[in-house]
Amino acid sequence: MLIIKDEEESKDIVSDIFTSIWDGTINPYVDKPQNYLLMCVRNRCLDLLNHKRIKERVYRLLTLESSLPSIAINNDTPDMQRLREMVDTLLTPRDRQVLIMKYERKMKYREISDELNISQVAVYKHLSQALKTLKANFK
Amino acid sequence: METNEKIERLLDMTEHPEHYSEEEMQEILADKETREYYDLIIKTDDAYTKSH
Repeated sequence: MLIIKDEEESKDIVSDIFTSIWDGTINPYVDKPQNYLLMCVRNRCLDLLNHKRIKERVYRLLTLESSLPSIAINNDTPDMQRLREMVDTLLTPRDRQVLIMKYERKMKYREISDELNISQVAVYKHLSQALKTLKANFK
Repeated sequence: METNEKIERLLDMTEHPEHYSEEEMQEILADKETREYYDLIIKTDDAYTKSH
């Protein structure tokens, strides 16, 4: 049965399982390791689907209620270009770096904190500061 | 609630929506300033997604 239709996401899930074995989160040395690993993959797939459903629900909730029509626009707009310019010119190097990692490279907070060797709290602080600066200047 | 606290809660909600009930999300987004920041997050995300 095909649970995840996206090939890249499927590969990510399998890769995550191997990472979990490597870091000891998953112990495959059980009676029937093949069945156990298949069950792990299946559970990760279901977790991912559930996570996506929740995210879609949030996005739908927010976009439906939003008063800003630009959210629905699919193309690059002058507003978006201006935002990128502001990111390049107004933010501190660290705030900019964190924001780019989050919104361009689509990294998780945990991944950003690992790569920069800072706490997740610090990641939140940098993103908060970046957003405050952008909001103050984006009229 | 301070602005920083609102933003950080919003960032957490967008990263881990599974930790929040629908009622909690609606409550968080009922705040005008939080909504403005959410709109900005969407625009920023779009600015780096739709330019590629």
